[in-house]
Amino acid sequence: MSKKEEKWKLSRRAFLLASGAAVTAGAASNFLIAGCQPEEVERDPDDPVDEQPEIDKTLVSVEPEITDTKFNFCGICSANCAMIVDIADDKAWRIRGNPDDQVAEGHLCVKGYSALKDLYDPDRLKHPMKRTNPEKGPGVDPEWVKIDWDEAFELAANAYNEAIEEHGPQSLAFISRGHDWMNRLQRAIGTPNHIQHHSTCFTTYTAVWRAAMGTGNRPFMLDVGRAKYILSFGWDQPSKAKNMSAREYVKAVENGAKVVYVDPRLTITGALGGEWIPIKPGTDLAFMLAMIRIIVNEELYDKDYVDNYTSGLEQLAAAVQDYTPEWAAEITEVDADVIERVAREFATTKPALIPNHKRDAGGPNYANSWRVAFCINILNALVGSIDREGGQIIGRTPSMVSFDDAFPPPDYPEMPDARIDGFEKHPIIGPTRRGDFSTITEAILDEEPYPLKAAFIRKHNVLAFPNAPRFVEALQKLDFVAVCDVWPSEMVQMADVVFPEPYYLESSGFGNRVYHAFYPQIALREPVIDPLYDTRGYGGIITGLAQAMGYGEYFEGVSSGELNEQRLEALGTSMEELKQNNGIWSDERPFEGRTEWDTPSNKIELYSTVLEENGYDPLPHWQPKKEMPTDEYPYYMIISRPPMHKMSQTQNNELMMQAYGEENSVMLNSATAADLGVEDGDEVIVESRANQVTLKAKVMEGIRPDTVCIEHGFGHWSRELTIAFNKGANEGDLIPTMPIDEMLAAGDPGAGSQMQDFCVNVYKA
Amino acid sequence: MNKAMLIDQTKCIGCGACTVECKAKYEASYSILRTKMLGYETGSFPDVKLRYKKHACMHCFVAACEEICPVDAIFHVEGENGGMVEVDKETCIGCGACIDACPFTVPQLDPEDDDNMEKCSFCAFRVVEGASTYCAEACPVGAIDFGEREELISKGEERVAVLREAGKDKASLYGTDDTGVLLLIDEDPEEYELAPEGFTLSRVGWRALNAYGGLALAAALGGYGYKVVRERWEENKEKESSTKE
Repeated sequence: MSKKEEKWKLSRRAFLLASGAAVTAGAASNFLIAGCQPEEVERDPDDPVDEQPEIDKTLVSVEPEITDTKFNFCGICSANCAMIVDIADDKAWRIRGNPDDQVAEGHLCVKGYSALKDLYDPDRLKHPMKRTNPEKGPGVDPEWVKIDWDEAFELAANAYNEAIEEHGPQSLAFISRGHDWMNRLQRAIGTPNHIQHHSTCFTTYTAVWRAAMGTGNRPFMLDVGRAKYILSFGWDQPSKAKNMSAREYVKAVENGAKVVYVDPRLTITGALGGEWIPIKPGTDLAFMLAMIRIIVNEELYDKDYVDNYTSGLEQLAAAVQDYTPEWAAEITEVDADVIERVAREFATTKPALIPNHKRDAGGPNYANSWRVAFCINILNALVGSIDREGGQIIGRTPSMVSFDDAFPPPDYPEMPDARIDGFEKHPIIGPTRRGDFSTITEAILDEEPYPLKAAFIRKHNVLAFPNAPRFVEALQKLDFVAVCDVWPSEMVQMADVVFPEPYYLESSGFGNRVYHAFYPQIALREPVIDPLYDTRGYGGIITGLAQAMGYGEYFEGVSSGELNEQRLEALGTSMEELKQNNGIWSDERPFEGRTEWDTPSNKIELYSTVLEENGYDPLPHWQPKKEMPTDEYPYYMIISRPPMHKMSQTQNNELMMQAYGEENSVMLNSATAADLGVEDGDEVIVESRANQVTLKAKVMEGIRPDTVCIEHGFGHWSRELTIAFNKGANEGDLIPTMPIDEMLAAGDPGAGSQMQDFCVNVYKA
Repeated sequence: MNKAMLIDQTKCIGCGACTVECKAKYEASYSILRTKMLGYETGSFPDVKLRYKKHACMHCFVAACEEICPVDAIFHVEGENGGMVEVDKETCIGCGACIDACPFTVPQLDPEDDDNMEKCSFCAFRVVEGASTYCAEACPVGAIDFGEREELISKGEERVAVLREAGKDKASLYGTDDTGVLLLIDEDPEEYELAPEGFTLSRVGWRALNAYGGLALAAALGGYGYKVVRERWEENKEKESSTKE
């Protein structure tokens, strides 16, 4: 008999006895489940009625005794919210936001709160491994064999050195976020090929920001909380739960800020704000150009700010004269009087802000996105909101002692110019060496400009690349791939050798508040527990690989501990002081708006001389998105991200998967669904010229009938991710890759990957 | 009840921070969310409204689940900071009567924990000691307030006045008479699948009647109530075994 059955038997007897008593007493309860006299019961007169078990009203605590507290900052997104981690008996028990951190302000986002599930995820990589099955791809078991670190380094070093000897250093690519150790090894080897994900994320925006403002600082800091008029062209960070953006946005709404949300889909950002304008996808530029025309012609701009801190107003005014509200209305499908009203409200309510963050708004969504980003800069400048309260802020991020200053390197060899992804061909964004996810695939497959033979990859997942299955084919063409990661991701499934890394809660370092710094501040990262597995930090992995490859001299005397000490000393603080101050060092000072910019004219350039010198249009002009609906592909496609997930990194976390609901879906307007004969929950196929995916339909009202939306992060095919495996589908499979010629023809100074510039067909599966 | 939570749905972004922090702290089974976000979309394109509701136990002063529980496993916590509704899992028989009785359809049976009823406990063990709830501490946008009930009611009413002033005529504070959880909403309660205000006693009776097809009849027939509960239990057992397959 199970425990439940025993309980049931006991309870049944008890309540029947109790009910007998109730009936005897003649009490008529309203809730008479227990007030019935079943026939089959034979009452034993010796059984006292009060035998019903006493229920236990003791409140059970789930909280262990906290034995220690550690400081760290979140490694899930680059906001790096500072965390305080409560430890109970050597186990991390709870993560809280650090109240002294200006990013976290005492709270974390849903992703941060789930991090302990990641830390203790049994699916994590536990030791170095080598592949024994030469076949690679989805559905193929790599047949891993556990190896030690020396063997892992030797295998990788031999493969890389062989490629370098036979095909030159450029035959090796590093696919990784920028990292001091990695960049040094790359330069020591002399390969120009360092590729990061930024072309899929924000380069359209940073390229024009650099051109118009001259600052190298990242344009990711917004003072949304103090804005009184928030005009969002798809800026949707609150619904993606970006901690400081969501907090500041809700504060602004609570304080009565007017919000206009311009997006083909209604999200909670637009819903909390009030006014939703369901603009036609890829036409925000027309709306903005008409706004500029109205603001300039009616002289509604902030005269003081524009006169003192900007240049090129006359050229700008001349450039936008054709862009009447009626013209824009036809393109955007937004009424001309709405565009006029929004333009006037935006210019006359202070402070007003068009917020932008990465793939939202001015990110690399369409061929015209860089112009959208340019217009965001111009409009924010016209209303005097750049580096002013309630506007777009240039972060007061503290500068740190550089790696090269701390450990001067031996001379580097000559490096060939030509990159595998052609990224050096973009004059403005090229020198940042960020690389291009959308051109690398075809370049590897075509062996143009040269054959790539091997890759050293860190964390970036296969699912993050445009047309992921096509990128898998490119990886299959390489002779050798090593991957560093925390999880057995899809990229790991393509590896010959795997280097396991610690989770960020097991590592150390500093975060310098790149997304939200009103004043200089750093946060401490210390290991919150001893490493769970046989892992090594990325710097250590690079050093081991460099030594095995024969580049050990570049890393002599290099240590992260020494670097940390030098950095703290330069800031005038120490590890002890940091720990005493809740893991935070701050240089609090009042906010003073910037008055000079590092452009040729020392002003914000509305007419961008930098764009002009580099062969781009120096003024904002209309350019349509690249691909329009056709009979074959009649719907626009937009991509979003849910609050619970960070791209494709968090789906193996059961907390997130449960909170989200496990599978992504195809969002369809009810009218579209009716046309297609599709009901909510039906399986549908979404097809682009690149690929197709099958998902369930989510029928709704808050999306344009000509548009479908899919959320990113799903469709994992690594069987070693036991929770994420086979849940939903990867909408990135639908995104076409681009040969370098097509990328250059787009004329985008930011070399954006145009992640949504394609159309799709949808039909019932 | 001296303590309360005020959940301002006009500030809620539906991110699930409360859901995840709660689930992590209580180590709830895979299928159990003691609190979760429900989204409500109303209207038709392009006049659409979208709101989230934090869906969890409301901690009714007169709790239908407590009244209907055949084994009295559900109780109100005693003491100065008490008043929240809790369940004694040792006594719970997993019959599911509370699920049908609850006007908010909150209770769940946990198949991984002997079919015991699982729901939000208002972090009773913390609150009686003077601490806050995990979800209120976690919420990154300040949409969940925990504190003295009277203060939260005043605060909520002030916010309602502000919202009404701003043209949100339907703004109201839900639960001031009935529940330990107060919801600040700006649409009719029905839009959030909430029982009409003043539901408690009448609601309890109505739900119970609904669930059991006429209580007077049940009483008259004798044994019927027992049968219903028994059937419910068998059903749940079946569900459990089919999930396991």
